[in-house]
Amino acid sequence: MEGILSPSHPLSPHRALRELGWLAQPLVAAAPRSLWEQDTQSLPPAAAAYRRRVRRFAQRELAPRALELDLQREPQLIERVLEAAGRAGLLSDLLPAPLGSIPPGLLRVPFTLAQSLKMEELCAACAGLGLMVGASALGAVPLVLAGQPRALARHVVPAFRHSLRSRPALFAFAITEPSGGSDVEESEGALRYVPGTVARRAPGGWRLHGRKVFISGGALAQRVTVFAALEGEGMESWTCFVVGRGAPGFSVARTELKMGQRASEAAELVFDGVFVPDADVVGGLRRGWGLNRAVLNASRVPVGAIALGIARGALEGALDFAASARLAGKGLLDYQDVQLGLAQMLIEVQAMRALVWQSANTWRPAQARASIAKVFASDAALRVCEAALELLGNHGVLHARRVEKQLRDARLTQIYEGTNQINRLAILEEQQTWLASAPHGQP
Amino acid sequence: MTSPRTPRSRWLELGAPPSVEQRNARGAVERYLERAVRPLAERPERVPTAAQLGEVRRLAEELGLLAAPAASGLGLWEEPSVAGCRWSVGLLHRVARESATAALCLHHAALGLLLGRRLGVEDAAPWPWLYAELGLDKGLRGAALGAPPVSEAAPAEPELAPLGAGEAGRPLLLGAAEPWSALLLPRWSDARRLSWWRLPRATLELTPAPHALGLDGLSTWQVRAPRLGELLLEDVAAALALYREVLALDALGLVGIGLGATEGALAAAKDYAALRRQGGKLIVEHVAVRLLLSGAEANVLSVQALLADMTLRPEALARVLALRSVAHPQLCEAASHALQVFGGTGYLQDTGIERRLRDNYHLRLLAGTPTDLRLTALAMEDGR
Repeated sequence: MEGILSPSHPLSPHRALRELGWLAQPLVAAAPRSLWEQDTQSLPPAAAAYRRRVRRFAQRELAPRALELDLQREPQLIERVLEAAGRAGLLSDLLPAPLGSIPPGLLRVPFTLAQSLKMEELCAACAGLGLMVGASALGAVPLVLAGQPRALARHVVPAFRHSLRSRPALFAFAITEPSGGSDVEESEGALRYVPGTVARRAPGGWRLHGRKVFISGGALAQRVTVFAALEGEGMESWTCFVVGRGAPGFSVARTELKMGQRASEAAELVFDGVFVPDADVVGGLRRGWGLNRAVLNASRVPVGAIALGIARGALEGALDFAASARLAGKGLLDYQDVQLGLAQMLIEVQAMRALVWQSANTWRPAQARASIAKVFASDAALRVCEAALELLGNHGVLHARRVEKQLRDARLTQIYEGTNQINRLAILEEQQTWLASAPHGQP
Repeated sequence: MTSPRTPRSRWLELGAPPSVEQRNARGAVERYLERAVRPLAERPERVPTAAQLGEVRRLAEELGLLAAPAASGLGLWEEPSVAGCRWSVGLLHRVARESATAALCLHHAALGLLLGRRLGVEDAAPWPWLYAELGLDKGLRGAALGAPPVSEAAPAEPELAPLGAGEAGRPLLLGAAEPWSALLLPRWSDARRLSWWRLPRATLELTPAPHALGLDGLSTWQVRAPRLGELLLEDVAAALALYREVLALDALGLVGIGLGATEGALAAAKDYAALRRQGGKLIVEHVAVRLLLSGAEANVLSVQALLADMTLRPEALARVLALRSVAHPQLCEAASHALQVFGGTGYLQDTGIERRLRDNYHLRLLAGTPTDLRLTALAMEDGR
């Protein structure tokens, strides 16, 4: 690269550090590997191995199909990808083997971190397909968090085993309603919200009435965890129910045409008197709001990882272009403005990863940290995609270059799992006691 | 509760106070929008067809908005005065409020016609000339950074080579609406020599290269030209003057189109905010939403001011390019804010908001990215 000393030059830090004494060698990075590799090596061995495995899977199964599925959702092709994901254990990694597919070593890694590692790798290859995989985990999380052995045995374990052995058995998470997007994701809105999906008492169970919208994976899921208020009560009565795909009264009204993440459909689901037995109430009556917020706290960091993966994909696309293109007799990488642009993208991606991993590395995902990671990463992803497009110039508009797809994909991360505006308020909601107390400089 | 409309610059209202000609022209514009442009916007999720875009150009000609008699001053980019520039920018802006794709079709067709007139080219085909936005590419940016100012199309050798013959890995890209029959384009043969050429379509090797960012309905090709084509203008000073003129008009048009698309997005966002309820009240009453709307509005007003300045002195090319480099990022941010007001609904193709954001991102990459524009403007300022 013009203007940058090669590693073999006597003044290159690579060479100079190598020539330091043996005492210094353990304390200096004389031959640094790629940033991805350095980060991977910083993980516990099981997590590092998992990250490498998911990356190989994503490059083999997702990346080659990403562009085709972005132009047209081909159900059979998506089914094949999901089958492969299921067999690879990526649809059942919320429970340890043999109930699910978490390998023993990975059990010591918080599941939000494992999910974040997975989502970055999948979404670096294709955010739409990555979301299909991730949305299934999201749908199963309420059941796992509720911790009811009977519900796990009745729904989660059979689905996970089915995914591992034959065809994918997906879950979907259904909270958003036509008249309530943000209201179902933050308390202030919920306070005044009149629930649109209602559970009416029936002999032996409940009947659900209403609609849910923008449900990722909703049209393909075998089971949907649906949140509904009890008839005549407000949002404080929210309860989670499991609805099977074939339940009478359950239907998919439509799937949306979206700006990006097109391989994953966003479905509108109709519940027209769907019967749910008492056994399929998740976590108990009127526990849905807490369950919902716990799920969001666990899922917002992986959404940050989705944004991170998209940004990394855009960065890699820009690097590939810069390394291969020539301009006015010089390689693009020889231009200092290109070098500076790439450096800034690397900075953004590293900052996103540091924040996502730090926020994910806990067994108790907390609201503020989850929202901070989600907001920062999704905003930064847009900046990285814009910078990548800038580097490609008019070639950036081409579908085959992938970067414009990554920009379209990234834009959704600022919206789902609560808009970034709602997430900012969520940070204050959790931290309000501390914020209201003064002085803040005291321990 | 209703939301106030974004105030528009007076001159963007297609001329006020109107002369008789302008009144007639405004009527023509309204008829044009109704018949040719609005049908494109009725179903935003649908990609405009070649026939629809052909109608955009045909009807513009029929109504005198394109290829009108030069004396009328109403045809797009036909009148070189400040008033003429403002009329053209205002027309593109108005069309782009409904459809940026339609506006860009008109814009490039009009620049092609202008070039045809300047270069003395005649052709029997109805839309023979295509302005290919090849002028300000990264090759010229290379010039701004000290490399020889060859375009992507031409290699660094002093003699002009066939189009696309050099610079492996960077084929020339052409985005356009059908029909077209020839390219008129500037080509550098060395750091100082510019000439204008005509390349008949039949002599070009065109490989479709689908784009998906924005401006749905336009086609993109990778272009190679085994033969040099017909030399139209060799005089370096004249060629450069024409080049500068077209670059400036292109910059004005692209910003005008982006502004129109963004104002359309902002108006839709305000309408939605005045209807949609969250948290027990209209979302326009939430400060979070008002911050988005006011931020978008501030960006729109800023670009209106920039555009007004650009049209005052289109011959000040460095200034025009520098201002354009600032305008597009602001428009993207404003359109993005408008989308965010819609929440998940804004991400759906049915609403048309996401299309306006995509269009803005696409426009931002045409004829020089913001970085290219800034570096080129600085190079012009310090005489490189």
